[in-house]
This record gives sequence, structure tokens and C-alpha cells, in this order.
Amino acid sequence: MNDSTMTKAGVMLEGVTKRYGRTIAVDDVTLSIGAGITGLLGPNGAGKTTLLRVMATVLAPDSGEVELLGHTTANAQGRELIRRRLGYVPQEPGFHRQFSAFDFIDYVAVLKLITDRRARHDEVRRVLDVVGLTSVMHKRIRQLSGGMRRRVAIAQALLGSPELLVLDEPTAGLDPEQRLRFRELLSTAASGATVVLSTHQTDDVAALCQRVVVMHGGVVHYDGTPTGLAGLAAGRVWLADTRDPSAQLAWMTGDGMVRHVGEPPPNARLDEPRVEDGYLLLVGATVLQESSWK
Amino acid sequence: MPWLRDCVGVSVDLSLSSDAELVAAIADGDRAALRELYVRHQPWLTARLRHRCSDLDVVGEAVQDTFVAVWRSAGRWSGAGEPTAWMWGIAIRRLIGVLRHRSRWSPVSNRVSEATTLATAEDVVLFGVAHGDLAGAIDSLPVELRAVVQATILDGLTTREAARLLGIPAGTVKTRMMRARTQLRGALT
Amino acid sequence: MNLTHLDEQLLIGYCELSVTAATAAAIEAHLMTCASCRAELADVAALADDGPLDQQSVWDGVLERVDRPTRSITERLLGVMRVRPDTAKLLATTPALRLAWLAAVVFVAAFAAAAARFDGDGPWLLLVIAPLLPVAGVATAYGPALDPTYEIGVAAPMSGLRLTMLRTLAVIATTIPLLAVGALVAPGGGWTVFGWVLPSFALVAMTLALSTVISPERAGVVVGVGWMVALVVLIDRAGTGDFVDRSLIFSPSGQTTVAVAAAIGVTIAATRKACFDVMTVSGGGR
Repeated sequence: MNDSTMTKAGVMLEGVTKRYGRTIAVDDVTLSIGAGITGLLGPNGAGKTTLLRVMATVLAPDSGEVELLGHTTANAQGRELIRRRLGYVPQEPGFHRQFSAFDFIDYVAVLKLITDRRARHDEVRRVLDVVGLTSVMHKRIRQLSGGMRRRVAIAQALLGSPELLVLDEPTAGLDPEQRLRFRELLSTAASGATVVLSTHQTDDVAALCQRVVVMHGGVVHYDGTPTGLAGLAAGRVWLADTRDPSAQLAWMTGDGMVRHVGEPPPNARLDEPRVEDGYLLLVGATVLQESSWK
Repeated sequence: MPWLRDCVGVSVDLSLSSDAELVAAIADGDRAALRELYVRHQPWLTARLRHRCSDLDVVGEAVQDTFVAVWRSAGRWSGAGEPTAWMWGIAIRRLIGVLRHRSRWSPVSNRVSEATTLATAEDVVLFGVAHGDLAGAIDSLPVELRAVVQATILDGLTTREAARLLGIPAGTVKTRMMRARTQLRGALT
Repeated sequence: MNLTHLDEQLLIGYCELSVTAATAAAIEAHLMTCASCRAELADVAALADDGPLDQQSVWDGVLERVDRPTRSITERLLGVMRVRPDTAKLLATTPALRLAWLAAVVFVAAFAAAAARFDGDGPWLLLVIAPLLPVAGVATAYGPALDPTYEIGVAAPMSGLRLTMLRTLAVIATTIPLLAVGALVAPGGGWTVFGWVLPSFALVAMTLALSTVISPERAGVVVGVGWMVALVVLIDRAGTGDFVDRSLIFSPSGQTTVAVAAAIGVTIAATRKACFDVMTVSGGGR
């Protein structure tokens, strides 16, 4: 797709491929992502984490070009220049056991080369305030709830107000209320930056992202606006009273109706398409089965 | 920050916690609990310290030191008794610390080695009944003797600590205490 | 004991320092046991025209001091040794600087020294085991499996090689002296008792070099096994004397070879330093 934004792209991937043994995690992906929030959607094993690690300079691709914030990741010099302006939340961030939230963020701030102590501590307090953890910042991290730990992980990524923010499933493990707060936080904290996040939640994408990239099997299947993704299912979403046995994609909704995506079942009426419908249509029935486990 | 307000709202309502629970939470690094303890106890600690020292700057510094000490030593609080008494014990000693820091005649030793207080069991009993004749007797004591009684019996300080608080030699504290005792006994019989 | 509460006038008098000493004493005794009168006093004090002191600035002062970061024992010790605070912060997360690890090293060194003293076969146990301890310390000091913040660290601008070298030096600086004390306690033939020192450096260097290809903990295992195999194979079968006398590693020429191996290991690690800057091994997940 043509990049519609005029701003210089924060992320430029050119034919990026990454293999683990015989499996191809990311297969010849070309993408350019500019300022704003971009969602990476896909089932487990779609290659999202691998792609995000590449975008966070953590993983070097087997082949292809990676340019972040105008610098290549191919050499140490470029990587360091990128890392000075990068924030990254890994999929399952761990913490040193003895650390309080403050100590941990302070430790990451040292890794981020904020050497002046006073300035560093001010910055640590600032990011903890942004995620609303000021009152518990001296508690040991292992005493914090899962949602709070997520916020600690997000806080460290905000150190130094990065221009590129890479977040791997930042909303996993958050309850609906916390997810709502996270959306609020991200839309304010990340203004002007290039933000890429992966998620399983189509409603996160609809609520947060200006752009969505759907990955499946290491390949990009869709790249465009969330509305455009929903639009893929226009005229193909049907509500019926009973399940059509021949339907590939059909599931029971909360109000007792059966939602079909694809061919119309008998006695059905058309419904408004949602991001979820377009996503399911793209990646197929396997994903529906998988996501019904969640 | 809207987030912060939300978070304080969803966390446990600290105003319902007891002082002992607050101290336990502070030991876990809970800043909000320290704030609650401060709101509850700062006013009376300040007022009481003002009865011991007229310099507001010194009192303010001592109060600040007290809550910093509470924050750092909350984990070592035994949990026996009321936190109130524990905090007062810290506050009066912080006051002495600040005074010592500021005073020109700095004492030779800065360690509180003398564990015995001048207050005898009799004194404590006498003072437990702070009404009637005794009240009159105390009020009739000369100012310098009253200060010594207050420091040693009411605040439970050692001779050395009382000496520092009042800015007089330890020997003077002892003799004044003896004089005060005699006068009190005389007034009560 | 306190059946009644203090009335407002009395509290105002107390706050304004206008009550007698005996009254003040009685009020203070009551305040110690009565939360509701303490709250009442707070209201009275807040209403006073000339507030006795600026509550907010005192509280800000408290926060200012409370929010200074705590420093762990390790960090404070390193501070005493004139290590810069942010470097100390980086080192404090090294597992090999924990008390448990140091205690283990002391135990092993003491055991090996005692064995040398009472066994009569010389310090062979110390020589065999000692080089493995720094290797274990270095192999567990970093890497995706054992450093919980590994990925965040890689994505940070601090050089991965610098972080790795810092922690390696910390391991060496603690482990080698402890083992040296063990060696001094052990009886033995002069300098042979320090035959483990060069192998220690060589094995650590090789662990670093190998960890540019496989994960550090695996590198540690490979190097450890390699050391054992070398000990068994490199023996002068025709020679006489005990194990240490016949081992080629502890002979002067063997020690020279070990020193060369150490240099090679360091060179490999330094030339492949980019490997410390990106994730070389998959940490799971796709």
C-alpha cells in the first residue's frame, strides 16, 4: 500500500525475513510506518513478536533492510542512535526480584544512558506518574498486581520520551477497565511518536489505531485503516437465528443471534461489519477456533 | 494526572485503616499510607513539639525528620503498643537531633548511651493523676524545674537527652530533678 | 481511662501555648490514646490564622527524602569501593554478587582446601574445581534465560559488551580472591597450588567467546565439560607422581598454552562484540 502520511517514516522494512530453524517466522515483509499508532493483529505464531523484535533492534533479520528513525540497524552505530530514541515493551517482561518499581525504572534509565543522577530520578518519577504508579513506586515489584506490573513495563518504555515506541501485547492481562486507561495513556503519552503495538484484541485496534497490519503465517495480509479492514466484510456479515451448518465462520453472539461471515445463510439479515469480521474473513476459520479458546 | 486519582480511588481506602495497618503498609513501601499517617499525626506532633521548642523552623525540621525516620524504620516497628507512642519517641529525639545540629556548643558524645531515665515509678504514678493538687503543684514549679520534669517524666528522655533538649549540662538536669521532686512532695503533703 | 474528650477551647489553648504546664501535660496524655481528639486538634490547628508551620512544604520535604532511591547492600559496598553509583546499579543485578553465591564460593574453596590438607594427595581438588566457579558466575550473569530484563537491556543504548564485561569483571573480582584465600590455606608444593588461576581466566574468556554463538548458560556448561575432558586427556601417562604432577595443564608449558587460550577467547569475544548487542538466541515466542 502507498503510505499516505507525508511525515518521514519511523519504521521502514524492506523484504525482512527471519527463520528459526526450518520455520519461517517472518517471510519477506515490506512495511513503512509513520507517526501515529499502528496495530499489529494476528493469531498466535503469526510472527508478530519476531517482527516487533526486529523493529526494536533486538533481533537482526536473516535478510532484508531495516531502517528505524532514519538509521539502519545493520551496524552498531546505527543501532545505538536508534536505541537512544526508542522505547520497547517485550512480550513478557521480567523483573529482578529485589527491585522496587522505582529501582527497576532507575536501572533501565541507567541502561538508557541517562547519567546525571538528579535528572534521571526526575525522569523516573515522571514516567511513574504518567502510568499512575506514584503511590506504590517504592513497593517491591513482586508485591504489585499483574496490571500494575504491566504499567511498570510500560513506564520504562516512556523514559526519555522516545520517538519510536514498540509494544508487544501491552494490553494482555489487563482487565477491561485497565485496558481503557491504557488507551487513554497511550493516546496522550505517545503523541507525535511512531507507535507500533501488537494485540489479539480487535476492539483495541478499532479504538486506538489509525492503521492496522494483519499478519498470518509470517506474511502481511492487510495493511490499512481499521475502517478499511471492517469494510472488507461489508455485505458479508449476516445475522441469523440458527447456525448454518455449511458456514465456515459463524458464532453465537451475546444476544442469542448467530453471526455469519461470508455466504448468507437462509433467513438472515445483513449487519454492520466490524473490524473483527474483516480480520476473521482474512485469516480464516482456524483463527476463530483458536480465539474461541480465549 | 487523571490516572493517579483513579488509582488512589481504586486502591484500599486508607482512611479506614488503623495506624498499625498504616505502619505495616509503609514497611511495604506504600507512599499513600505514609501520606495518610502524616495527615493524621503531623498536627499533634507539631503542637506537642512546639511546647518543647519555640523555634518553628526547628520544629518543622524535626517533624520532617520524624516522618522520614518512620518511612525508613517502619519495618523495624515491633507492632507492640500504639504507633502513637512510637512516633512521639521518634519525634522528640529528632527534635533533640536537630537542636544538637544547630547548637553552637556541640556535645562531646553524640551517642545516647545512658539508658536509664530519671523518672522513677513514683514519678510516673504521680503524673498519671494530672489533676487537683498535683496540677497546682506543677504549675507552681519554677520554669526551669518544670522543663526538666516535662522532659524526663512526660517525654521519657534520658538525662543526657533532656540535657541536650534544654541546652544545659547533664549534671544540672539531675540536680534540678531532685529539687523538683522535693518541691512536688512538699506541695502534695 | 479517658471517659470524656477534650473540648475545643482547651485544644485552641494548647495550640496557642496558652495553657498551664499541668493542663498541657494532661492534654498530651489524653492525645496519646485518643484518635478523635487528635483529629479534632488537626482541625483546630488548620483553622488557626497563623498556621504554626507550612504543612505542605514539610510534606514536600518528607517526599523529597523518601523518594531518594534505596541502595542495596551490594550497591553500598560497591560505593565504598569507589564504584560510580550507576555502575554499581548495573552490577548489583549480577547474581554472582549475591551473598548466596559468595557463600557458595567460600564453602567450595574451604572444602577443597580442607581436602588438600587432610587427604594427603595434594591440592588436586582445588585445582580441578576452582576454574569452574568463575565460569558458573559468568554464565549466569547475563543472557535471555537468566537476566529477566535481558530484552529491555538489549533495546537500550548501553553497549551489550560493556554490560557483559562489567559483570564478568565483578565475578572475577569476587571469586578469584576468595579462591586465592582457599589456596593459601591449602598446603601444597609452592606455586602449583595457584595452578587454577590461569585456567580460570581462560575458561571465562572461552565462555564469553562461545556465548556469541550459543546462550551463556550453555556456553558455561560446554566449557565446564571441556575442562573436565581436558584434565582427563591431557595427562602424561608415562610420568610419575600424583595427578597434579602428571597433568600437562599444570606444567609450565601447559600454563603458557592456557594463557594463550585465554587471549584467544578474549579476542574472539571482542571481535564478535556485535553479538552482545542483539539477541542471538531465541527466547521463545514468535
